[in-house]
Amino acid sequence: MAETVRRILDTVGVQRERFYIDWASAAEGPRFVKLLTDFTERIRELGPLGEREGLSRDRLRFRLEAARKLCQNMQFRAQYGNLAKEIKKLGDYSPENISQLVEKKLVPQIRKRIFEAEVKELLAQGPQSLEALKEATGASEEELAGILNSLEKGKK
Amino acid sequence: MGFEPRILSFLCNWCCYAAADSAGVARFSYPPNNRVIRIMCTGRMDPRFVVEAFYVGSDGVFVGG
Repeated sequence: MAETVRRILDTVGVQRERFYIDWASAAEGPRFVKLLTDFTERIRELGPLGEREGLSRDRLRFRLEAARKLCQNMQFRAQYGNLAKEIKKLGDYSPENISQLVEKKLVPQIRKRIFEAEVKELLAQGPQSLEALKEATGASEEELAGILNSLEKGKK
Repeated sequence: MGFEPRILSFLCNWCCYAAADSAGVARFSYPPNNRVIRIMCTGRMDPRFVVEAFYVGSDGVFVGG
């Protein structure tokens, strides 16, 4: 879950430090206070959402909307569930292993779906050069080619 | 004027939520910037919750198990 969230945030362009997961048992009140105080300090340093990221309000909102749709997408959810099952079967819960598997199985989907939404939006505003699309989305040339191909097919 | 971050926390009923409660009872002070959503277990967390939290304008999301 945490790794998937981090990868989604990376793709959206939000600093992954804005998301934090940690444990404190019911008896560890002081530890909880410390975790939350430190986290609040770190967010204070990062500033408002979008500022450190250099994203405008609208751009950020648009990308988060795309990420929202991604999380609701049944195909993606199925892949996410299958990966959880696979990790359980392997029995290896080390962060490295999970990170590797997420990278292999989910990241291409995450990137494709979020970039696709953005490319569609940009093209709706008028013709764009490949360079401009690359600049705006941060997608690689191959990823863009794949997205443009599938959009082309969808038109026919 | 200083920036006050808005933080959304998802706390597990049995762990961090109880910890937050006991911290309150023991009168520890912690930053008031945080809004809590209680979940019955951290296993209930879904990537969608976090994305949604950022979408509605949180500056940070904390998950406490």
